[in-house]
Amino acid sequence: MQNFTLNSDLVNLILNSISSAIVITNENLEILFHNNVAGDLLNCKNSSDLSNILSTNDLVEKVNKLISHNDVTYEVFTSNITTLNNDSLICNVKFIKISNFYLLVIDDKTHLTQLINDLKNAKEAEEQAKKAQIDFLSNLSHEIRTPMNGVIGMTDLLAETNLDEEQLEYVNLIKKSSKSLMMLLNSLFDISKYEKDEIELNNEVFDFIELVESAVKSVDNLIKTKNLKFNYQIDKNIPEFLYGDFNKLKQLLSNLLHNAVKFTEQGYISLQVKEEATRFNSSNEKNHKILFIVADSGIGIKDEIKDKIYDRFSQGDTVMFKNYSGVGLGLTIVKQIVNLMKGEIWFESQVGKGTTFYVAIELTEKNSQTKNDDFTRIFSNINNDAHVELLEDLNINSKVTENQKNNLILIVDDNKLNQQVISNIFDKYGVKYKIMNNGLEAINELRTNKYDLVFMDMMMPVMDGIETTKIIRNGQYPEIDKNIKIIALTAFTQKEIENRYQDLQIDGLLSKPFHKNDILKLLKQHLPFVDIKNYELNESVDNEEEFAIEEVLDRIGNDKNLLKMIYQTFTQDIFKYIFSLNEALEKGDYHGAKVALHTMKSLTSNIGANRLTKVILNLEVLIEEKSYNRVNEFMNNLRIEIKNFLKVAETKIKEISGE
Amino acid sequence: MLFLIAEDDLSSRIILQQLLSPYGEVHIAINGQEAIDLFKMSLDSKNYYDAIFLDIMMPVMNGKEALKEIRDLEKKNKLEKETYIMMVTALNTPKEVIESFYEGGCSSYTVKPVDRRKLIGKLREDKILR
Repeated sequence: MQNFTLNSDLVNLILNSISSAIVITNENLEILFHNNVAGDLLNCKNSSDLSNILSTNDLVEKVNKLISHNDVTYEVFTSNITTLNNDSLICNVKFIKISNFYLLVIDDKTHLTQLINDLKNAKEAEEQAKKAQIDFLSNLSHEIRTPMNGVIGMTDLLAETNLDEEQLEYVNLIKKSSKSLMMLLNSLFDISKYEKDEIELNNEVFDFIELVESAVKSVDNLIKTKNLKFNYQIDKNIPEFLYGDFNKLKQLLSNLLHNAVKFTEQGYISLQVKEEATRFNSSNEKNHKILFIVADSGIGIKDEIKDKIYDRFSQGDTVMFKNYSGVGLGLTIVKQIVNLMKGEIWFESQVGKGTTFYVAIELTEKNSQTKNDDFTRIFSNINNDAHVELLEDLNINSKVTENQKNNLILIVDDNKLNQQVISNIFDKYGVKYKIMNNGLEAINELRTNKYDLVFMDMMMPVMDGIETTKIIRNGQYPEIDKNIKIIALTAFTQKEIENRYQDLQIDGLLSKPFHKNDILKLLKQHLPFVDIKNYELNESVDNEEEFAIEEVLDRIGNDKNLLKMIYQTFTQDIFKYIFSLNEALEKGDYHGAKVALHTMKSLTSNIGANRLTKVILNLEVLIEEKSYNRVNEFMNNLRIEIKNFLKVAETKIKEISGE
Repeated sequence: MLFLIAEDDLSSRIILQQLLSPYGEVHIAINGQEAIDLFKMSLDSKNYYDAIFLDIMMPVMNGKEALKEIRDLEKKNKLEKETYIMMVTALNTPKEVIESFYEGGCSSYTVKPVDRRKLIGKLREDKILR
């Protein structure tokens, strides 16, 4: 090794070859040495220029401060330096004290600082833009929703007027389009709420099978239109009732299913629900980890877009955008719901073969649940279109026909709402029935009592309809009539049922959602001795029910006290209204009469005095048409009807009070 | 939740009040003018209504007039968002409902006799109730 010493030339060379500016001063801050970089950086030709520059900047001040603290030997700080030709620099300064000298190492960080600031600003701007976009979306969807309510409301009203077939078709198209627009607006609204963290879980005890079935129902029509095969399976280990946010879970599942259908042109969609694990939580309740698997034989997801599928408005690539409707919000919402529920989501996909989505979510099995919970839930989900339609169907006012034969029908369905729907119809027509919650209960019941007809749901916990039907048909219980007529309750069509369960010997099929007329048709077909001919509505007063007490109770949530309150109001107010009506008519004040009739109509329709309401409606029409000569005749009818109503109502009210 | 009902017929008032009371506090007015007075008080106390139910036909001041007045008051007081207003109507008055929608800016409507499921369902759909 060669002997090596640093001579001053070498030191000079080194100091001038590094990129930092170097200045060495004595204790009085007089410059003893500076390298070339220092001169270049600060644009100074000699030491005195440099001295000036340094002393006119905050650098000297900062250095003096450091010197005043005797113990500081090394410090790094940032200083703004203005050069001789007035450039502003942001510099990083190292201050080093070496015995009686000070060494300043100055690095120009102007560009770097600028760059960092630019980046920061850009990031902030982007965040703000994103927030603005979300706010915009949220406001926009809200603003459009408001007039859309008007459009939908008016379309509903329009549909109730006298339209010919063509007009009705157009109105229905408007309805359909506005509904899908509304759905889109709602998802936009939801997205903005999720992104602003405004959404909370609304947990309740719910019927798990109903969850799956209602999600399936939401894609049922689409699947049929596209002629896809579909099946779903629910693990029998999953409890009947679980605790969670029903509506969001339903949205999650239907979005996944919708997504699958959207990107599948032929083949199949399948939904599998498995219980993956269970554990006890801190409150000693059982948590079930449920795995939802939605598989399709669709176009699959290309590798390059796999990271983007949960992004807003992305839908595969832009080419796909043209072929597939929707704006690509479905999976974004799914992801957000999964996050909210602290679940997991992942998928496997092969281009051209299909995609399988997996969602794992933990749901609690509550130790105790009251029937009341269940009841409230039925009402809270009544919003569901099909159900509303059903229940509206039930609001018809009809006469119960006396039923001569002792025929009995067994309804086997675990879904409380379905039970309610069918039993309401049977009640109205005086058909006798009993309800069982699952196949096992049904078998036991059939062994003890004779029935003419069984309405059997196919999907049930404990023992499903398929197994139950097989047990009945194979004659293993001699006390059960193995040829008893069985009607399958299902969301599938006859053809699907035949394909699916070839050996299943059923006599008929009732598709969900149930319609009153379908049920009645089946009854006529299979129990011809039941007289249900006179159920059609009649416009004339005579066919109106005097006091539709059940209808009223149904409307007010079965609150008997409220019914009594309304009745009491009726007895007090009806005469007051009659009085003002009379007064108006005597004065020939027909506008006043109309107002009085209108108020009276609120009262009579509230208490379910349907016949009375009809008389009032007739009176309104008479006055509207200026047929004043017939008004007296109808006023008489009105008085008679009030008397009749009070008589009937008094008894019925007493009956329910006596309970 | 704070509701306001304006309805002249006692029986309809009782029904609405009973159906809504599980969800919150219910204030009652027997005509449009009273509803306006209560609405003004709510503005003063900043205790705003979550939903207002206006019968269309009422003496003194009818529902449509009350609706217009409320919307004007909202504008005058620069309220951030419009109050949800449901018109309560008899089925055979579609003209009045249409006018309420397009001239008065109501949020929705329900038909008498009021049905619990439809009413609550609509309120849930419109995100007034959760």
